[in-house]
Amino acid sequence: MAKTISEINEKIKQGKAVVFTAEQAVAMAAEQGVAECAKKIDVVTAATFGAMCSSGAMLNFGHTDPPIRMGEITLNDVSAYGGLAAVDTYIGATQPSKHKGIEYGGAHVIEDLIAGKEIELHATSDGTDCYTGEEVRTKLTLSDLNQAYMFNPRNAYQNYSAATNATDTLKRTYMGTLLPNMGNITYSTSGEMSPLLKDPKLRTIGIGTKILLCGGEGYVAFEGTQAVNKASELDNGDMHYAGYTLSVIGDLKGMSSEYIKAATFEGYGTTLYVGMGVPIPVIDEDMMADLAVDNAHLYTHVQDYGVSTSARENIKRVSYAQLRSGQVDIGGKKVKTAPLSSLFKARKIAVELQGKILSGEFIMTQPVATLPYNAQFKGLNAEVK
Amino acid sequence: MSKMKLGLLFPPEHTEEPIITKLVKQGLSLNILKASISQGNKGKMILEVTGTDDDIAKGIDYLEGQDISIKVYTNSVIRYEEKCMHCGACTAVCPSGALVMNTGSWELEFDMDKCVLCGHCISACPARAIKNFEEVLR
Ligand code: SF4
Ligand code: SF4
Repeated sequence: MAKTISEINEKIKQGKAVVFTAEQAVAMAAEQGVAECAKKIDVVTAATFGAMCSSGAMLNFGHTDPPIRMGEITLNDVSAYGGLAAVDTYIGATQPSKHKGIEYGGAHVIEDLIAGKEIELHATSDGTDCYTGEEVRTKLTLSDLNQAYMFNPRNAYQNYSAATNATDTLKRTYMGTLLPNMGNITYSTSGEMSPLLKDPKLRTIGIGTKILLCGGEGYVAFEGTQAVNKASELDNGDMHYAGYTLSVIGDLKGMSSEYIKAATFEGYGTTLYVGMGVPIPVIDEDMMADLAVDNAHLYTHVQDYGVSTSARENIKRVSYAQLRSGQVDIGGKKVKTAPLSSLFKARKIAVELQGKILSGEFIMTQPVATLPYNAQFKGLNAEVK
Repeated sequence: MSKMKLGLLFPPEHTEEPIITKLVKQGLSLNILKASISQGNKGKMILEVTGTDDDIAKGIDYLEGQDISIKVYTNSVIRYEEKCMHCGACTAVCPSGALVMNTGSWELEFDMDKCVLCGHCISACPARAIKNFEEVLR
């Protein structure tokens, strides 16, 4: 009894679609079984709200008179890329400001734009015959821009290692503050709500899949950078998935401050918390079986972030249920766990997307191309000082 | 509800009346422990304020806007609800259990009474939603 996306969309338009959040679907599958759920549920909404460093926004300012070919560009003292056409730029989330450093960076500029705040643009140029302007300094808001769209090369990590610190000194990392001697474990995935853990074989998520990005409509643009498809089957038959990622795109003008947050990881840098909701059509029973997998059967590795190497040793495999219980036993020691991504916000996004689909406001798209299912992750073989 | 003692130093042109009225209007209950204010001189007052963390923070913001210098006698940390995204990063470093995640709603819960003022949460919060009162006063 397979269903197609267009059949499900018909039901959405008629107001007859049955839409569950990922958590609700997990609970119902536990009660009624996968086969029953596959018949009853049409769409499952998955979501995540976490730090996604590889994010940024493309902006077009429009031309001044006389025009300037902007070379060195800052927005609220944060450098933006000057290597595009005259008045186009890309501002990256992790770029620190010149004076406030990581306390205010590209992520904060994007957050302020979405909040409708005024931003100071400063740009200089050597001047050319056709672009005679050499310097411009002005205030602008999101509505002044011609185009402003988020384009994030790597978001929605399917799975990410949990972090601990086995050394005897405190470490400040992108996984938060890690206390010495395995004083804590931090983790950053929404587990059974995580979009790519719910469609791990990329059967429905593809290029062109419409999503909720920071509260507005967005799309899956491409395979994310550093994406890797790796699934290992455990002795108990469960799967342990590694980190596929998505590149996504969406108009800043439709986004809401509620679902985006600029952040600073002490001693590390600026980053952007991005909220994403992904609708997953229940096309058949196999799809439902993946959607039914709960936190007790989704795993990650705890790794030692105290050592700086790209090939960190796995200390222990843990389930998301264990991580969420508040403590994990490592070699006889009970180590406290803490989340870094917001489950509270992820839930809100899943519920919001559910509401939009139920009301017919959000119609699913058919991917225009599938995402490659053989992504490998290569290192960079070069000497580092 | 939190309680804290504030020492206020007024510039000469201020009298206490409008300030007290304003703080009460902002939802704080006040207990004046000590006051010496006379026209033309610098005024001093020690005030015990009770209210939600947010209201206290707003009250302090207001006082600062009035050019009043403030000293906090009972130190503590303050969390700005509206900035908090409930990520949980602060719970990783809180030694006392003052900051914990509610594992039902996955919202952050802050129990000021348990706080031992170590300050670890301030730098650990990526949203900069936790501030030291001293920092708030600066
Ligand atoms: S100051 Fe220390 S004890 Fe108090 S809430 Fe922050 S981390 Fe916990
Ligand atoms: S770290 Fe900051 S934003 Fe995150 S839960 Fe704690 S107070 Fe809220």
